Amino acid sequence: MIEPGTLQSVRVERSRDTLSSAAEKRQGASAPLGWAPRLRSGRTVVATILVLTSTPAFAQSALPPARFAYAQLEDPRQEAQARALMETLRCLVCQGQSIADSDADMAGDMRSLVRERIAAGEKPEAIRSWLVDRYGAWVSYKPPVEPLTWPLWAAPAVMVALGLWLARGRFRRKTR
Amino acid sequence: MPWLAATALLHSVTVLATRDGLRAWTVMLAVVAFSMSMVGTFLVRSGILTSVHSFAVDPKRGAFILVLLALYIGGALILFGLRVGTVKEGSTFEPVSREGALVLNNLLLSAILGIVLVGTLYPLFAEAATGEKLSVGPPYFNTAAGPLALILVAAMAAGPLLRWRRDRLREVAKRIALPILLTGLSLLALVLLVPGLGILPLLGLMLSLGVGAASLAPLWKRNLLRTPLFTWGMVISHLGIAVALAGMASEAAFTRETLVAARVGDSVAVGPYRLTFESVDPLAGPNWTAVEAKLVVRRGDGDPFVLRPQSRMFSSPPTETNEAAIATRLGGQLYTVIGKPDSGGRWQLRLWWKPFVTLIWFGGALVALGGLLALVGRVRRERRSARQEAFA
Amino acid sequence: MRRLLIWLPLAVFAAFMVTVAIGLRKPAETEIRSRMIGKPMPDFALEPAVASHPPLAAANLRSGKPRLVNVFASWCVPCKAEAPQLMALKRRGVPIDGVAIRDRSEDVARFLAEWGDPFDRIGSDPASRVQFALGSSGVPETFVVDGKGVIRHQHIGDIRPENVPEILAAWEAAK
Repeated sequence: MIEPGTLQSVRVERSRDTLSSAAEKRQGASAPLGWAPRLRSGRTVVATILVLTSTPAFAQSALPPARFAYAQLEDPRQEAQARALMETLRCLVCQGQSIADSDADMAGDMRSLVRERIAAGEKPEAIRSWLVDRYGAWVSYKPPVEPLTWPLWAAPAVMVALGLWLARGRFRRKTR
Repeated sequence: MPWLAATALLHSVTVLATRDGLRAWTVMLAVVAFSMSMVGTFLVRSGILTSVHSFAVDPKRGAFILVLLALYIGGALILFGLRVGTVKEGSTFEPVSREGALVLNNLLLSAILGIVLVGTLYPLFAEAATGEKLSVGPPYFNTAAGPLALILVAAMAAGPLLRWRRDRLREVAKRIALPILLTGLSLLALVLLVPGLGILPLLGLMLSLGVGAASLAPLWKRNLLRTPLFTWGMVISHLGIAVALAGMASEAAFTRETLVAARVGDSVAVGPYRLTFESVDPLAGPNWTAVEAKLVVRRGDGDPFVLRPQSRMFSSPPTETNEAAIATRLGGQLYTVIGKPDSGGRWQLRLWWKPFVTLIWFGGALVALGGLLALVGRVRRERRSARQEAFA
Repeated sequence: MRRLLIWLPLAVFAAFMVTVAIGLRKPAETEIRSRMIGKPMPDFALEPAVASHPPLAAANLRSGKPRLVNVFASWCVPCKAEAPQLMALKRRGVPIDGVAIRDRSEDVARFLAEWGDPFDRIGSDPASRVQFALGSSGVPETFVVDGKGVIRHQHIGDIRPENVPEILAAWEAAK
């Protein structure tokens, strides 16, 4: 028995077109759930011709993706390390995605960079600092620990302490 | 954020109803819960934060919502400040008691809410203050809120087993001994059977087992048919949280990913499934054209089924999207995505097998069911007591 | 003390409003500036992008005279828009080298034939490595590099006619 799977969209980011303003950044349109109409005979031919001959007007490179953009490393431990790092690096041309999640060409190039360097034995933190040296803290989802971010990292402890202090009034004090 | 505040509020109201305590807290939580809903609306509509969750970049509308925020939230907080003095202080509590546990619950939920709020707004604050651009993402939230959430879940196991007003630690320990034993056993099992598990997923999995058992503990030695509906509600909701936690931890721990460049006719394995890449067909829709892959999926000797992921191209504006084909089974979900072909005629296939991820949804459904039961139980009890008063 | 605590949430809310109001008033700046400005050019040696031009290496940018490095691609729409401005800069005597990002030879050749060729050297960067090393986050971008190979100025986005004086000034200052 053939059971169809459900359709659901996954967004693909378009490489940044610097001519358009941030407000015009487009995301992939999500299609309504449901079956696409299946074509028969003559229309299949037309569709085939259309798909195979259409020159895309996208601002996308004609080159195939970089070597390790969509290929995993052979050593599973290294691949896990690379994956963990990729999930914490921000895609430069997307609207808030990590390079692990984004389909943009540039994100693919960054993934390839990360994987190749990890395969060569570089430590994930070294790769992260290399990127932060060039793009600033913005490119890393893990904020640096520096005077500017001390309040951020101290926030959990401060909140719990504040809460405990506020709550102490609720508890019965031993009156002897 | 509204969910965290509202959960704290629901629990706080229990204390208010049963022991007439935490009055000012409950009022404040109510204000915070609604405020967070409005703040959330503002954040995703104004374009002030760049995020996959924002769906508009509209500073004018953002300014309008900001004015509304000032009116509603500012007004509520001013009213609170002016009038909370008239709310008499409620009763005080023993630390080891159900009220004490609920205060801890309030505290932890509020702390997590605070962390989410600070983490989300910090890049804004940093840029306004120094012009530096920062990104705050999962590494911060996991480190900051993760441990608190796990403590909260552990407290959730013990909380319902505590008596109101006053309880003794030794008694509590006795009641919770079995779940703790279960947690220890599951830790052992996980460490032995699944080596290389990360610390957070490991903690999540073992806690979910122990907490799941502990959430059923209030039903122990009770006549199940005479147990009030809202006790059932509490048990089922807490069980739902444990189940959802198990789902989240499983997703982090057991996801299998396969990225491969495959030719038509190739066979690929991911998790327990074997997929055969049978064909690639062109397709056209109302405003798009696509290439659709036909993947025939088999698990062991089971019946094969077909998944058809698509790669769609729209023309105005020129955009490409991927339509993942997902197979949802009781044991997990299989995601398949088809990418671009390379020059050698091989197609990129991206496949994920996520076992037990469906538990997240199932756990959520249980939480909702528990809430519904508690609501029905309370309504029934109020009706019954109203009827009794009428006869008195 | 209790009085202070009661007004604390309002104070926190006021701080939030102020932060957010400041954020809303400033236009959303989505550009990511390179952190390599003021630092020496990273070491690289690229293959030639087209047969008609010699390849580009970091050593070429330490020639003693300031040069422009234009990061572009044939598939990049704004790159076509800035071509006249690049030609204008070239006519003023500014030497320009190019780095073609993720491009094929034939596409680069076609781009140059169609939109003009202001480049002395063009290097091919198929996996964006040099782009990352420079701290460039998209195409097109233009860097002013002085005679010692130190990056002095970055222009993000296409060069519009009104940007030309600024780039010229940066190039003069790098001498």
